[in-house]
Amino acid sequence: MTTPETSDAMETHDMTDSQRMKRTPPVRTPPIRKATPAPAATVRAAPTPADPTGNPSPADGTVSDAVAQMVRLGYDVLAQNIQEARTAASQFRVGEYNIREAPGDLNQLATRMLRLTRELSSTTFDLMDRVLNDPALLGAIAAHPTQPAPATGYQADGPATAPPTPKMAASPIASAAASNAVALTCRFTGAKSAVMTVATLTQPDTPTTLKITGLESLETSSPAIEGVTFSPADNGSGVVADITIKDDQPAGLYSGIVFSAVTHLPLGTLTIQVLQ
Amino acid sequence: MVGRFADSLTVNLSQAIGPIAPQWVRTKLWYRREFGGVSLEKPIKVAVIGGGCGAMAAAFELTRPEHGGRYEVTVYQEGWRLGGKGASGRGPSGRIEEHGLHVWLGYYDNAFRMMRDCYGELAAADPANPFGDWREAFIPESDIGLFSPAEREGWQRWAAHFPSTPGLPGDPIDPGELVSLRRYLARSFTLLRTLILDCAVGRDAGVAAAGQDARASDAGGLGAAMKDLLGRGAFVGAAVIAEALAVLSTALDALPAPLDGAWVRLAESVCSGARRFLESELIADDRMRHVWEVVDLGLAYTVGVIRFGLLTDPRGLDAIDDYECREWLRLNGASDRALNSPFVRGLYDLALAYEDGDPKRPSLSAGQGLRATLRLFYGYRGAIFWRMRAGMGDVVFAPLHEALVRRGVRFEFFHRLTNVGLARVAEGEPTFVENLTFHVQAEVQGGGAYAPLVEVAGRPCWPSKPAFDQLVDGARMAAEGWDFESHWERRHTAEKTLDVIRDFDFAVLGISIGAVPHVCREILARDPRWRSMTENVRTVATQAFQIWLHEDLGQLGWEGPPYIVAGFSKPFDTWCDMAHVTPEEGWAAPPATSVYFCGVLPEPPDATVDDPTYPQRRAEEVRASALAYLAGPARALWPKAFDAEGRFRFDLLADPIEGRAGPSGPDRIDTQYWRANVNPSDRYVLNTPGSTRYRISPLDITYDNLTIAGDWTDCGFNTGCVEAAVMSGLLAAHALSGRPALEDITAYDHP
Repeated sequence: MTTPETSDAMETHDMTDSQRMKRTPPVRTPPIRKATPAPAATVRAAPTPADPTGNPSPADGTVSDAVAQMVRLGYDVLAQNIQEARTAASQFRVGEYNIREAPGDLNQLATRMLRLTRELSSTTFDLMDRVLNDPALLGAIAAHPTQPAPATGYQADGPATAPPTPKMAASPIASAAASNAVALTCRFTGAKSAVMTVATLTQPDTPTTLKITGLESLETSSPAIEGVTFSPADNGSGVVADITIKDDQPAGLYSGIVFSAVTHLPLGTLTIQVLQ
Repeated sequence: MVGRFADSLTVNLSQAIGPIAPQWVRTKLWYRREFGGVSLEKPIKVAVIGGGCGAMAAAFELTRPEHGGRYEVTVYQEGWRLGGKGASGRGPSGRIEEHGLHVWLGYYDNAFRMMRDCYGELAAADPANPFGDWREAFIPESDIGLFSPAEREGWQRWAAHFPSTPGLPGDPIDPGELVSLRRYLARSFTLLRTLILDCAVGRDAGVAAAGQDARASDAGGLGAAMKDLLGRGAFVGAAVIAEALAVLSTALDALPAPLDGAWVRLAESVCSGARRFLESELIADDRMRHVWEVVDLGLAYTVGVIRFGLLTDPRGLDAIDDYECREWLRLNGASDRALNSPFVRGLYDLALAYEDGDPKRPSLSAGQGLRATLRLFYGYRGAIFWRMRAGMGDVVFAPLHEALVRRGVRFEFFHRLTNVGLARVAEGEPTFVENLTFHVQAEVQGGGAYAPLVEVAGRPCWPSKPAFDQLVDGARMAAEGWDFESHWERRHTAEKTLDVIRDFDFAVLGISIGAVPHVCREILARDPRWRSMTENVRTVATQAFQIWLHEDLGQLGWEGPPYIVAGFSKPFDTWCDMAHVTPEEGWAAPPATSVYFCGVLPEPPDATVDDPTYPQRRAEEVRASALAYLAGPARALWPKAFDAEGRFRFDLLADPIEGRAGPSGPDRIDTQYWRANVNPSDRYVLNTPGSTRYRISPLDITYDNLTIAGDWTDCGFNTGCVEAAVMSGLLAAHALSGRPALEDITAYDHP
């Protein structure tokens, strides 16, 4: 005898002596609101009854296993932080930086980033220690001393041992070969077309917001193009100028000076050509 | 071999005889594999009462081919059309006339799956069927406009664009992707981190850094250490906050529950620092200010989830159901500015979340409000909004009707339920539904089935009025103005009582909660839970009007996208440009566009459902409101719709009666369409604070041959919307048949 495919559905209702059909109680009624994701291994599994007490499931394994697990997790967090800091430091070292995160001295910055990351990672360990400082776990903690940090190649006050190959930042207009040049590109919106012809931008000494004088016409008395804004490039390197060209903007060359909103010192120029 | 043959025979016979079998002969083959053959047994009779999304979802699920014809479903519907609150009709010139504005959201996975299955079934039966592909019927929309009153006068407009996401609503979801509050929180941290890294650094670099050792041995020290880090200057702030958010996000995945108070304070400190940083970067920029408002709300939600222990509370977001959503966010640090932002106002407007229709009484439970917001922002697939090609009746209920008829479902139109009768039992004993009583509002000539659909622009549609010519004494009914959908229409031609066992085995009560007190008197008399439900699950009346214009909105001065707008002037705070539906209508000379407006309808203090003049009086109020709206607030939307004297150009309104000169001036509004949705069954369902506990689940088995379906039930997503109604219908089907599995109802199990 084969099991009916619909046996679960068949058992949903019983027949009474009067042949009146009745529903059978469902396996469960309320939704499972526990704030935990379904296990990845569960694929269309049979429904399991909700915990009638509504309490979170007790941890599996022994207390010592839980402690060991938390220590491992703590190191995972640390390792991730270290890796991210290493990547950021490498980028700073070779000149790939975001205008908004770049003070003048790259080496000093790299060191500072690494120290911050180490301090944050230490904070994480302090946090883990706090979480573990539970009377029920004190005995297990004493029986399982913390493990030494895994070898990551990280050295406290020096660069990472193996910097990745630097990536060249993309720029449609090559900026000057100056060591502190910043790639500047344009993003145009509006019905009329335009192209960038000249763009120079140097890195400011201190973090700042970029501003630009209106893009004034170089050829005619056409109205200036206002409302230019700056934002980081999506690739994490350089700056993008967002420029809206009005429908009635006359064709021609327009140019403006890019300056620091904080110091008002000029940082570069931007020239565009509005097409016919 | 026998099994496969019998399966095939079952499906083919059902399709062949279903539509034509006499009413008293409804025998289908029911394959029982355990006997290795076929047996002839009577199917289980299910009476589905109502024609809205919940009822239709239940009927659709119970008649899936996988059930092998086991359930014989009959739908009992008052009036001439399916749809309930989603019903639409076709008026003069085939124009679409709706209850209001219906937009589907990109996380309506259950509803979309039903429609995709429906359209797929129709296409498989006939590739040239007039309904086409579901992707022609639902049009993605990624933009919404949100308005807020300007500081001095007028309005400010914010256009929000939501990028498309992979997949389509209704696609299967990998169980590994099931969401939790932890995951939502981690994604929020990631978004905040991205925003911080993208912000302009505007602070002076010389901000003094308070020196303090970051290492600490207690929670308070941890918080101080973090605050110290946060205060070290703009660049440092951005990097530290970003790094801290990364740590918090990682810790969410890494740390097992429960989370210690130190983590809580750490997260609050980070959020506080993020708030200060982002406020300084964003709020000064007009364009970014609204982004800041959203971020402020996100931070408040984050702090609230942490502070209220929701990450580990088995009740999930239901744990904060007693709080009003705005007030809960305020408790957790949201600014007044953010709470009154166009974003929040838009959410409340779209949810019609105003008690008694009073704009001064916004009311939305924090639990469901956050659940809906999280699903909206993190759960939509494809586009965030989906507009329908035509009326909801045409796009949803017409194909469902067609598919269900093909499956053998019988429809009894013009049957209005008047009573759910319970069996008399000894006190304290469980009872059951013994009979169902209906007013037969009209009978079909010749005793055949009523043909409800008409063809407009090549597609089957629901008319705005019944086909009186199909009805016995129809001409007289038409002349006397019988309004079969009106609660106040009591005229009928006969009464009908269905008895359990003889006429039905199970009943699905798919009416709206507004009608429950009128038809479930016996249940309410004996069951305090049902009484509490009807008292605490609130509803609100709504109003809507539609206009057809000879010029499109661009010509009238509106620059779109967006074409869906919320947060605008009351009472019609939500409106939508519906230019895409005019080709689906039957105009000899199509207008350039049509626009739908909707909003809540304030309840007068003397409102009573016993007054038969009540619906007409409210309809006249809506007309007056529509007129005032066009003459006033519409100026902010369409400046070129006004003449040199500042008057609305009523000549823009397209008269649907071809060749008629029609009224001029303000009276031309009478050529357009408006309605007051005041029928008890048309009232929109709310989720007010503390109301969830009073809802009853379709899985409830107090009455062992009855289940319920609708967005007023405890369906896992307890708010008034299509998705909730469909989920409820799926639960009703599960209650009767065990299918679909609860795990297969998307997001039923959800924080």
